[in-house]
Amino acid sequence: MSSPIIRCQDITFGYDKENPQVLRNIDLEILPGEFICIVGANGSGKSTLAKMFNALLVPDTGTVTVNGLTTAEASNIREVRQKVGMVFQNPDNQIVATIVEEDVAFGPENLGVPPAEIRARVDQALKTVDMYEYRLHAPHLLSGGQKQRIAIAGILAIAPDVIIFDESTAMLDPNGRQEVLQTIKQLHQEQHITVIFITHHMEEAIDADRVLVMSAGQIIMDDKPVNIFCRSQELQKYHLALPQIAGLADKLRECGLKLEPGILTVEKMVDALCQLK
Amino acid sequence: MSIKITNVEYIYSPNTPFEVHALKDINLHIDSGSYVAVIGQTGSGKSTFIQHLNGLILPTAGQVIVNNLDIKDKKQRRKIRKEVGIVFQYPEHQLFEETVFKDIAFGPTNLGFSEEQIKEAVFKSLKAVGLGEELLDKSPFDLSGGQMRRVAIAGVLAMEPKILVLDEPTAGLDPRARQAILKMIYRLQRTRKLSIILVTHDMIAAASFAERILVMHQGRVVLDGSPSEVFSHADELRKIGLAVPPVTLLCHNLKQSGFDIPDVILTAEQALAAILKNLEVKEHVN
Repeated sequence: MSSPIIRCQDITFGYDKENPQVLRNIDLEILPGEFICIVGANGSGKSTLAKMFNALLVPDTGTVTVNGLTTAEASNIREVRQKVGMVFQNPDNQIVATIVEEDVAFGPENLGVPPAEIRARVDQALKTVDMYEYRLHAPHLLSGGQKQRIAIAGILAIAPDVIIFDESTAMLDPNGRQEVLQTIKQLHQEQHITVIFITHHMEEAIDADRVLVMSAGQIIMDDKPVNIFCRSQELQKYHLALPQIAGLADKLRECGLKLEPGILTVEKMVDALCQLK
Repeated sequence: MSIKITNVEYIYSPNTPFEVHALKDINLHIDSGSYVAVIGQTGSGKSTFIQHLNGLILPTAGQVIVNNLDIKDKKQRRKIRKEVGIVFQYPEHQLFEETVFKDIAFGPTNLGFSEEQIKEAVFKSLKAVGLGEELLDKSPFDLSGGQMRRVAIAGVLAMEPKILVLDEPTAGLDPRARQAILKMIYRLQRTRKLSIILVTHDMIAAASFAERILVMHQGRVVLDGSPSEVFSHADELRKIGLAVPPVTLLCHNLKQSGFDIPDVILTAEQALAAILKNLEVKEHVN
């Protein structure tokens, strides 16, 4: 087994005296190439935890290391942020330039990458998110999904090993969401980028390798999606809602139907019910 | 307080390379007190459409009449703005006052309410959004995301509109907060007789709460009907990038596999009942 790319050892964190325990005793290892989904209610600590992964925040106690580099060490920050990129919720807040390709070039320019290399990275990144033909457009005239893909390209141009998506699909319509999810899955599969995906939408966790459920600053479940989704009553306690089909499967089981565990999609449900008929 | 929209067209940046024909041939009548959901992809014209309802945008062609007032007339437009409250996306970004009270009072103050009226409006709308009076002296920025959003909605309600337009009011909220806001909106329609126009990407919300759904695509209203009617067009919706609620799709597929199921199922409860009925019948036969 390869060594973890991100490791949190017993970290705690609070923003101020009124909220001293936003994160409590978190131990976590993330392996290179994993697709991890973090779910939890508002205020459960998901985004705070994510900000630990690229040194936007450092823990009050405990340590976070990225590729062995301690994030609390100021001299490591530059390298950590190059390894771990982050895409936020609102695409409009992350786009800085007036032309798509200039926006994508912003990251590598700041890192002092040579111009020819920047050109190559920008082109490659825009092709990866399928926005190359829009390279000379003005970002504010693009759709939400397109803007979010530009934001992803901007991160790709920094060539990170890990990308954190902090509710990056929350503001998008179903199509834009699909577009962005597709892009993310492709990055994971083809470029072997480690993906940390934060969402309220449990259905987006279906394809993850591993789901972390957070509540009150702690990781309370850490398992494969199928194993998480069969704990519906617990999830409700943490103000999370099962995907509609998984919830229905659960209710049918309560009514005595013998349905196998892990029915999360319409197709699987149709198959299962047809067998019972 | 009905809305009548006749032959409305809207073009952004006309006669420039960025010209966009955002609304085309919109004809609608929205009855007083109804709950209408507007669905459609980003860029389909939903936001442009709702900005016509209080004259933030004036139609390039056609007519918007709210309560017999013409939106193109400047004086009448002022009256319309009192009647039509719009809650934009992420309304909490528009909070700015020092206290929750002042923030909610901002609208009615600007409309020239008396001090007594302002106070009454603030208390009434705070209650309507389900928040306690202990929050009134707090800074809105110390509240949770869900609470901030309620304060922002209360600020619009305090102007006592008859029509409440909400653009994605649940975006970014967790499932519990989402459900609470949707129920609150439903209650406003029931108890205050407000007309609700809800722009949403959440098909489950549209299926569960709305009486009527407008589907927009490329600037046009392409489907208009009750949730059952609209969601019976699963294939058409998919073609324009929209989904039907998962249970609706499930029951549609089960029906094709020989299950005896009503044409359109909208909620998980309906699906549960319909599926159980099928399987029980089978047990009887056996």
